[in-house]
Amino acid sequence: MTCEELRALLDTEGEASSPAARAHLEGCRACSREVERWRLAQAALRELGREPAPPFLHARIMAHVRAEAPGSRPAAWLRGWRAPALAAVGAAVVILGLGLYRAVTPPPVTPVAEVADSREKAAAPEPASGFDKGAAGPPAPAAVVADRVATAARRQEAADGTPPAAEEKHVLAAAAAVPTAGIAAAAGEPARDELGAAAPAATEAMAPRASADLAGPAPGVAGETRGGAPAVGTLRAAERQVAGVVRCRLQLEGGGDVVEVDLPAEGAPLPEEVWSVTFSPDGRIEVLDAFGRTRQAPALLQQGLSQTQRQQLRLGRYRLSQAPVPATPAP
Amino acid sequence: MPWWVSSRAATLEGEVSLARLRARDEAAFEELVGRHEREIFQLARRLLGDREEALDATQEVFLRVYRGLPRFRADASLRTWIWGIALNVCRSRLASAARRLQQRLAPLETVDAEGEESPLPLPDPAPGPEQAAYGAELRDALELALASLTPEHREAVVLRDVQGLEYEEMAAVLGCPLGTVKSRLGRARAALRQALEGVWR
Repeated sequence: MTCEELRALLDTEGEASSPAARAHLEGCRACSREVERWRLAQAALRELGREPAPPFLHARIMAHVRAEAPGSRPAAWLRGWRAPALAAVGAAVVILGLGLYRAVTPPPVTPVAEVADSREKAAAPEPASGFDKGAAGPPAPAAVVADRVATAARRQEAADGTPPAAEEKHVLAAAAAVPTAGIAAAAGEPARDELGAAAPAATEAMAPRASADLAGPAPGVAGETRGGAPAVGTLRAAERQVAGVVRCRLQLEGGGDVVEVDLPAEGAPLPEEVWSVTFSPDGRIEVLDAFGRTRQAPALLQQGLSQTQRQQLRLGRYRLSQAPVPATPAP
Repeated sequence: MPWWVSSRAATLEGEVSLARLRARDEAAFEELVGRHEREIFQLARRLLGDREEALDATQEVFLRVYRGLPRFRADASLRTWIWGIALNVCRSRLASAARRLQQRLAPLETVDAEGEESPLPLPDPAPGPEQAAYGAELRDALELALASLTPEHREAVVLRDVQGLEYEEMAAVLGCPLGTVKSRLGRARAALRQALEGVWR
């Protein structure tokens, strides 16, 4: 076997272990050295393949896919959630039943089908059109959300020098639009129409706070979503953003410690966005957003965390996301 | 077949149930993503040579997978199909990166419009003689060497030596006969060894 043949064998097989090759290697220092180098290179190549993926990879992929529904409308995507929707409807029926039981005089019962129907409408508020109206109209809360989304898009544009792709805008839009419906569905909270119109007695009996919330703020909001049936969660999230402060939750990765911190809306993750925060032993705080870009939140976090919270905080990597809106509204 | 049997079968086979995926079952899709996201990210990371770009590419891959599932014919394995999509996404990203670079260089140089495959736009590695052949420095040198290969050669080395695919899997993913895979891999490794020449002194 010649040196050339040996190198060809090394390249095609990735090794030179045949008897003929071994015989050649015994008498050829140059080739032995080359084989040894290739062995090292191969080990290093395998090592390259073990570079850890960023922790937010999964969330980022799923956010993108969730924004992608038939026709790129989150509303359509929500239709895929049949099982959870049924469960939510089931929960609503149970709660409704409880309310009816508590009420002294039995009010007219809402047919289940009707509840299901209006729930579905409430859960699919047509975010695209709501957006446009919100941006054009007076600074109603939904417009503020839209504005934040636009700001986030601009920030990103500034960060990487290229305008965000259309798809990325969808994600941002969806990040703002989806959770509003999500909150209502997850909390099993009834939308305004079904209870307000169909079963007033039950509303009073089971959810006085929810109706108080609805009566209060933002008269312009009803126009932002289709059918004038904004989910309760929509209003609360929007109200919070008007105040300019977003309550966020820091949760130690792998479970455990949870700390809540109020951040200025500008320096906080968008709804359904999860950022990664690392507290290092040397006092450094690193914040990466869902797109893997460094965020200027450390200073804000320092201010937002109380002295006690900071002392109790364990070092490590945390997930930073908006905290669920508390059930008790501000007085 | 009751659902627990079919999901067990899917687990045994190591893949998510296609029926559930086609039915736009989100939980199933999330499971699919969880299964493949890391290796697709690694693949993109090595083919594109840039972490950010790889993140974007990985995202695009799964978006295309999601869109394409209804059209997916089960004549290839789901994994092979996803890897094929990943290769296409990386190729088109490399091509547009090369185009951007050409546009930037055009006023300064005469660019030959032969459409030759161009290597990644990275600085000349020019490893110094003092460069040790081990550890982090070998890693860096390898990254540069990989970047200096043509996309076709880089694909071959990455699929086989970084990701550890079998020849048959490579043939399926690349869509070419086994013989072509082997000869391409041979040329790719020869080019890589040559690019690493300067590192060993």
